Amino acid sequence: MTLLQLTGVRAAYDGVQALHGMDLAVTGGEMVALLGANGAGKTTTLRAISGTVSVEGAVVFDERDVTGWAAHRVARLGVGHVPEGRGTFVDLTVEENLTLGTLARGSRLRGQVKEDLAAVHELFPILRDFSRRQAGALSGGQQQMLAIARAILGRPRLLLVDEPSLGLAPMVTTEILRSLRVLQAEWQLAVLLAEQNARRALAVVDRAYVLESGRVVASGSAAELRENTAVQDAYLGAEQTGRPA
Amino acid sequence: MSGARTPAVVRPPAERDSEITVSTSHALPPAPRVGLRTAWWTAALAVVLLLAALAPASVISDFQFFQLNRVVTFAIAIGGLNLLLGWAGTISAGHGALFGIGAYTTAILVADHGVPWPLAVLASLVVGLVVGALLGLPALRLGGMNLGLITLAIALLLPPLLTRLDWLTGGPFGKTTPRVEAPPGLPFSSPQWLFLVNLVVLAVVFWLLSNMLRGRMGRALDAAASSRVMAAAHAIPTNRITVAVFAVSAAVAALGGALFHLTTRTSTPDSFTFLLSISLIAGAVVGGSRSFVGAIIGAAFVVFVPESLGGFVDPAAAGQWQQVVYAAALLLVIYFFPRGLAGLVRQARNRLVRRSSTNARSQEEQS
Amino acid sequence: MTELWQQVLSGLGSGFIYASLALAICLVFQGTGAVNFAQGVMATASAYLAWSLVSNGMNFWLALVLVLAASFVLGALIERVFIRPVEGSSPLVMLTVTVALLIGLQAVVALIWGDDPQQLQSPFGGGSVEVFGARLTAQQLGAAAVVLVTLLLAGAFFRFTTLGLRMRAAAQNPASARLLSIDVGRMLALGWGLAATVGAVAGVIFAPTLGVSPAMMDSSLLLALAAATLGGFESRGGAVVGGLVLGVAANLASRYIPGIGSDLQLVVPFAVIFLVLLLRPQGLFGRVSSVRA
Ligand SMILES: Nc1ncnc2c1ncn2[C@@H]1O[C@H](COP(=O)(O)OP(=O)(O)O)[C@@H](O)[C@H]1O
Ligand SMILES: [Mg+2]
Repeated sequence: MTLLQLTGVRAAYDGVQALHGMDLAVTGGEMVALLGANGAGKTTTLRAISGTVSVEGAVVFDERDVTGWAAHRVARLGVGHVPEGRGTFVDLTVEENLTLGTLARGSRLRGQVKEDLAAVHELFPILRDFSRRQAGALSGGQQQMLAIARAILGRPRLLLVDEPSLGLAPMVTTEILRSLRVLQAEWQLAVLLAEQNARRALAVVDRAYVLESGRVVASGSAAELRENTAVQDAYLGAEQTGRPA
Repeated sequence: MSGARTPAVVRPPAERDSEITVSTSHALPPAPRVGLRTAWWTAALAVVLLLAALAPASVISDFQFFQLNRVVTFAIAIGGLNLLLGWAGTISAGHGALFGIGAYTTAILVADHGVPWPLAVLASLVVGLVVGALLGLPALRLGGMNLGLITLAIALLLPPLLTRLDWLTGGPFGKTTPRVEAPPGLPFSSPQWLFLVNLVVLAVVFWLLSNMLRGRMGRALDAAASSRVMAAAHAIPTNRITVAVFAVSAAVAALGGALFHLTTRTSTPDSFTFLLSISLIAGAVVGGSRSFVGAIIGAAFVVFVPESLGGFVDPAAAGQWQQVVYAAALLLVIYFFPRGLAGLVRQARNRLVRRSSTNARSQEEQS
Repeated sequence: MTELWQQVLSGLGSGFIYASLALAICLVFQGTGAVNFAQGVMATASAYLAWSLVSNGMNFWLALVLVLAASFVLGALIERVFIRPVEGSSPLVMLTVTVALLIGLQAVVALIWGDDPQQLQSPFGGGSVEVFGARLTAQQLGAAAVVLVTLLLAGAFFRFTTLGLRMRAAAQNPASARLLSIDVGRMLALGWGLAATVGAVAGVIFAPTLGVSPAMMDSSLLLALAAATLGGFESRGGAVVGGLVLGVAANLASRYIPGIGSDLQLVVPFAVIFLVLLLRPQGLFGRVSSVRA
């Protein structure tokens, strides 16, 4: 069943077009990657879905046309977004950050907050150990974990994750992606993962779209894309070219 | 909040997370640079007014000249305030007080020390510069809205101070000076003569200011106002510039005040209350704080709007209605014409010019 | 010695006015990034409202409750109508709007209720109490107690309730808050409403001392702004402490420094701020957050 459908989505920043008609679909419970170089439009696509950038075209989530909706209303429908830059509430404690996550679920699954918190703490023990600490004092990787934990505690049906690997050591990235996969399976969560690092993303996702200049230029299952020589040449080399931290 | 060093303690939340919000920023938009065009406009306006000054008393009465003099002297002060609001991106809630300091300096020098008025006016300018530098210096460390706070204190403290220091200021009755007469042989009444003087000063001051803003100073200010970080990256000493600009702005306001005193002849503590500071801000915003034509429009607003209210409202409540009108005008302009009335005028003119040029083109094509 | 103690206590008394207004100013600033120059006159309007009710025979405390509710609505409404159109603008634009609100609202208050000062009866009666050798009126003591309770309640609200947490989140990182389904616009309106309420408590409860007039809050506003600067606009607790400190300092200065009467009392806070800001630009209590990239 299609959970998310983008049709001809266009978005612009101050008149400069960033998305030129995106078509994309995510089915409930699957994990999909958005691949593409820096500036390809991955972040903007995620923003178009969560309503943090204004768009033309159609964004349909769970059979509801949410185009033009305010971000908090989209979130209430069950769209979690781990934004670029992690969006940490730096002056709040780790615990308060997580509480905000649980509040985001509204009245759904209210009774399950305790168990879910326990599950998240098991996945990221560091968040329990540092629960009284100011979130701004965490390291980059820890803040990334916090951001993901906060978003999934809202029990979204679709989780948008923007470049969790950015600025992190490869080991940490692998750990985070693996945790994401675990959660996704356990909580029947669909995940849309924006990643520049195609090789690593394709190792965990089911399917992927490849973006270039605000358009989808290739798509397919992870296995297909790994085999696709054009994609390989263009994106799987990304690891060697070095990327800004 | 990484910058322990950023002097702008007062930082809006919108700035903190600009990486996520796609800002539909509503900042005072950068208007085109002050160009020759502005200078021309000012000059043209000056010539028109000059002709008016020569008009016989039957056309423009002495009282009307008196009002015009208030407009011109306010315009000078608002022009000074524009440096802060329009270019330096900071605010002074105390320009009314600086205006008052200029007025009192001239009043005291002329009344008690027999100084000729032109020298007294110059002295006001210097006093304004010094006071401005002294007030601006803390901005070196504070920056941003704290300057607003300090100037607010000055605005509120000046009237009681003026009352208190009666050995210097004449206390609650203030200082009165003799009428300024035109040099013998010239056929001008006193208000007429002052009008000419004020106009010349206005033209010179605005010309100097726009020259200043067109040069390195203007670029530096723009960079500083748009981003402290960027300015720092270009090694622009934003704080030192802010102090300099504040001093110049204060000097110009004091100059306006000095001329204002020559027009009204009596300065009392309650001529320079907080409401005057607010009026000047209202004039600057309504006229358009990045335009010297705007300063004149704004000054006319400040002088004539309360005046024209007189006929409609209970005279006892006139002051309150004046405040209501200022408030409404400020809000309207901020919401709908962020470039002020001057911006509106410019827009209308551009549209006219464009239309006439397209007309010309289509005619050419037809022939 | 007793004289000094007396001056300290009565300074502390007026310090509570500045503290609550400063807290209100902080709430608004943290939410919308606006330094609300109209905070004082909003409290003035509340005081007039209370005066109208009480002089029409209503019980003081009932009037207080009604006025607090009305002030909350008024504050939220002001945010929705006047601040919303310029949300996220530069501080300068915000400041201009709140200055416009200040002069507009003050004029409206004067047009409705007139210029003449009115007297509101103290709900605490005319008695006085001895506190460690100093004599305080029941009004002084009672007003301070009410404001103190208000400040504590406000603190507890932000610290312990989920709504308080959501408001803090919306203030700190609105973009991120939206992604967690927080209606930031509503939180900002709530913040203004709450600020207006806190200010109204001070305005109404101190009205018997200050007298009810359009300008009753003018110098308090200034001292509150000074207190917020002193405490750091980011720190609610700091603003409250700043208000109390300034209350005492201003009172002591006007008593003991020759030449500073009540008309020039305002010099004191600004001298204090001047010094503090030169030494600690983030304010006495403002934190330099530890943020890592
Ligand atoms: N806030 C912004 N303002 C202006 N242009 C932007 C902004 N964010 C992104 N862009 C532009 O939009 C395009 C897509 O950017 P983005 O979606 O961030 O790409 P990606 O996440 O794939 O790196 C780029 O050309 C980028 O320069
Ligand atoms: Mg991106």
